[in-house]
Amino acid sequence: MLFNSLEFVIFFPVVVAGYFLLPFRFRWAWLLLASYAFYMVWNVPYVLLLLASTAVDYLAGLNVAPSQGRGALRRKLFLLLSLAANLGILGVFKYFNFFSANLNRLLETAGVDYVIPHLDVLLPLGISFYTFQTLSYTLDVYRGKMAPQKHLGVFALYVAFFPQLVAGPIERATHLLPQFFKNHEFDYERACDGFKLMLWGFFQKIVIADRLAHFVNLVYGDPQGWRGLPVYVATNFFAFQIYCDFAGYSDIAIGAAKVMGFDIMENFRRPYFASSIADFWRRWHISLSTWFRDYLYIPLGGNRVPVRRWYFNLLVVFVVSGLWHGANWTFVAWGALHGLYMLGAIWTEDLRGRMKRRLWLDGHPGLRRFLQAVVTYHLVLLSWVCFRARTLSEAGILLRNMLTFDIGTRFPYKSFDFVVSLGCVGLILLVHGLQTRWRLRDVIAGWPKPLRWSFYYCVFWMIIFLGKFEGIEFIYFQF
Amino acid sequence: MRHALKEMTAFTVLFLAISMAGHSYLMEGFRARTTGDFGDWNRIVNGRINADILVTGASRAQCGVDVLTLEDYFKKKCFNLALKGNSLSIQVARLKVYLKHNKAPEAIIQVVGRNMLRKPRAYNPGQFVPYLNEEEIYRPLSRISKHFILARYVPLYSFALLSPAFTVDAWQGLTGQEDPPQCNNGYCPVDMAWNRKSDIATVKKLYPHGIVDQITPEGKEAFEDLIRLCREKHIRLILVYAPGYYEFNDFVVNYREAKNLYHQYAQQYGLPLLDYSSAGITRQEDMFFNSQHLNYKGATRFSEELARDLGPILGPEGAGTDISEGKILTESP
Repeated sequence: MLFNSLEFVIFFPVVVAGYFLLPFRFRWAWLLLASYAFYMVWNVPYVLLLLASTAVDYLAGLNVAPSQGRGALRRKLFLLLSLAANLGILGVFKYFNFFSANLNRLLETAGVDYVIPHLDVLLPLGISFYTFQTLSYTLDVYRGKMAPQKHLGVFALYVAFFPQLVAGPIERATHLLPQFFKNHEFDYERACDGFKLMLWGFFQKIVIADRLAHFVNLVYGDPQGWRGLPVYVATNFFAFQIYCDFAGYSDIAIGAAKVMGFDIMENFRRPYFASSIADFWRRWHISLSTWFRDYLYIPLGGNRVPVRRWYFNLLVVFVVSGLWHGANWTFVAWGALHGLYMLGAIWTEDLRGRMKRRLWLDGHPGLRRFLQAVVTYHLVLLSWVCFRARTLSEAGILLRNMLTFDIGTRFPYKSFDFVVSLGCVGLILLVHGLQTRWRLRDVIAGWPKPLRWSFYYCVFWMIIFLGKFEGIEFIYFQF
Repeated sequence: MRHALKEMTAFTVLFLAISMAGHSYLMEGFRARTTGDFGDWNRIVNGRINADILVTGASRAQCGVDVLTLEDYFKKKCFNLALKGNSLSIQVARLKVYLKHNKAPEAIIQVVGRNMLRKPRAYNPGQFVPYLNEEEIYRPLSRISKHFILARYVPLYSFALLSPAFTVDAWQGLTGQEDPPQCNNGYCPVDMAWNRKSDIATVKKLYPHGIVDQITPEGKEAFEDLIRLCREKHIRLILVYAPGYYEFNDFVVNYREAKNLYHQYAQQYGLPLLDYSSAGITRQEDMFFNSQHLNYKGATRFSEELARDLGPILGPEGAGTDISEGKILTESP
């Protein structure tokens, strides 16, 4: 089910009402039922994968805990079972065709007369999210960070909890699981806060992301046909489209959970105000970057290894992160580029320090931060070209075309949608700027009721009159 | 809890009340329009047309039949009621709304041709929204899409779906800013030349195995509904097979079958049928703005020819011809 669908407008109030009206002991079952229904609206048979992942990790969780007095071999075997099952599901449904296509090309080049067949399957919705979420549970239990969950129903709910099932945030069991055992009473203030967050999420998705998509698709759909400014504008628009799409989804998810009393982790923190690439990754898709930090980077040794190994670790984490986003070389390139940015930042640390001193930027911290943010944003912008382009060769064409001087008079600069789009980008920057000083929801909450309600009504009506209601899926659903 | 419920109810009720008021206000804007699709619809529902001869059909009728030429020829009031891109079921629904508010015409010239018997389809859906209280149009539309049901009952729903252009249309009505009229009595000429070669290349590329004309049970049912309606209201129904550029007929796999169907209908129900599918105009590239549609020059020429051909049927000598004993002209004279 899409958050930006009519079905959800009916589904959500029914679920919330049922949740608070039911006695506490039935609530997990109600939420589990709702979560499976939410998933099955998209595709009924694929819920079996969700069930399989749940069953495997439930079983693995019970057998990998160090405190259960079980042998190390048995624990490792069950950990391997969980890893193999989850990564196996991902491998088959998400990566099989990618690897087989590349292998086929290799075999053809080597003159081997064998073709690995193409697997004709749909990519299950949210597969990368829920497999990573369940994996983190098993790994945490294995490491002894938490006790295994014995209540199968509650564990199933942890895997399938509908607000964050299909596009995150990727929650940690240590944070989310205990919340299912709390008897949440209806809290009006908290519910209002959740609804406000949902409203902002819908605004970002329906008004901003889906509007910007039009211009992005225009240019990225015909890479040869556009040069200069239109490519630059479209790439900037994509930067804000993907932010508003994904941050919008996260806000709706966090808000929806909040209405019911659940606290879901923050996923974005004004990423385009980042002062370095490392800082960007502390602000962008936080639940995924911390997942990779905790379950890949640190197990690889992190930075507590010889320097070359550290570089290797960084590159591996970013390439895998790229591959997580999709089975395409464009995503691998995007991840690798970010890895190289990180290495570049390490290698140029002294040089940048000297430059700061030479340009007297140390005495102007505001200006320094602004310049750092502009440079970081443009580095990220270049990487978005790889992320959005359909193929690596198209990414190359777009990057080359972006660097030519051409105003591109064919581009619809004068259209109403373009003006609104520019306004939307300005609005996001303004909101993020203000958020550095204030928590805007608290500021608005302090306004007199007539003004406050008028403000919310205006946001509703802006969504109605300026929104794009074409049932466009969230970008991150495909990952 | 009670306080929370009271607050939420007040917030929702006030929101709905303001939204409903805003919705009604904007709908007034559509009803104030005098040009474009809304202008035509307003003339229909306000009973301000009352034509003697109606032209119905889809885009081929809308841009191809100049009703002013017919008016000049027959000295009777003519109106082009055609609905671009819409299936016959919606064309008939519009005719029913027309007949509810206007006097029945003496004759209806139904322009038939490719895809007329396609499955029900509503093109340019915004034009119907202000008139969804008319049961005749609401019923078939609600069967096509649930959005029409919601647009009728949920305030501002249609604006969410169709804005911002839809809102601008309403606003123009409220502020009296009309676009320069593109149509006259429902006839909307297109003054454009045609790049035939590029069109042929595109069609060949898009449809390497040819195009299949949709002939659906719903389309046939709508056609029979039209015949029934004309009989009930004692309106003479004349079928006109519109000209299309000849080269493109070869791309339609079932072209002969679809065309013959109209001839069968004409014979079965005793309807006059003027068939221009192989008239001289179909070989003149400069008369079209695309393969299926006549441009202004072509429409003028075709309408003159049509008026002359209709003369014996609608003129004094044909006035007594009853629908059941009408003549069939299978080819253009």
